[in-house]
Amino acid sequence: MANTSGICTSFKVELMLALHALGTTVTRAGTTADTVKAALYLASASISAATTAYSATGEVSGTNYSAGGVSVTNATAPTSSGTTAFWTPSASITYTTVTLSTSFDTVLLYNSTQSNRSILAFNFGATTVTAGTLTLNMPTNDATHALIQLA
Amino acid sequence: MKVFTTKGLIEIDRLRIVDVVQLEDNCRKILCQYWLGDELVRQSVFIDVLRPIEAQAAHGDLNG
Repeated sequence: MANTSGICTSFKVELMLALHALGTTVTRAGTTADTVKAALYLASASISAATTAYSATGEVSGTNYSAGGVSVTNATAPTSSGTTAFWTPSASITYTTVTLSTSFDTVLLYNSTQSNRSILAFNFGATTVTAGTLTLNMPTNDATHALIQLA
Repeated sequence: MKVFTTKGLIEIDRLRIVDVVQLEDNCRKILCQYWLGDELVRQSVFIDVLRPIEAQAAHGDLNG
């Protein structure tokens, strides 16, 4: 057995659990999981990995869509397999009976408990919804397919 | 059975239903369209997330 270099897998998981603070950080008020929300953005917006927080600028609007989007079901804590830490929402993200007539193409997952800080942006190509339901089916929560993977 | 549409509740027999499958880089989209004549009166969208490309790319430098 020899020594090797690497970012510890446990650290990757613990990043998603907010167990490390390597700089000045927020003071967490509780030990429960934060609330994650999912907002939709117009194809003309500028959401990307550089987005730091939720903003209503460029967000979709339409029948039965509330600004800020919907809450994401988070019943499964981050975990790891091999050297990859991962996390996936534990249910589909659904916008029920909405009409979103202006082309949109991106969902932003953000932490509404921590000042709406961004988690990830996912671009699924331009689409519209008419008096129907938009469903984002999540991938299998494993090291190969999970929505968030820290490999 | 009636279906909710932009024209209100309409008997499903009066509607033409078309499923359109679109493949994107990181997902598969299924557009379930309901047509009343030449008018699209309902469209639901189902997106299967296949690979979170942006999320993986953003975290590429975490390789341990």
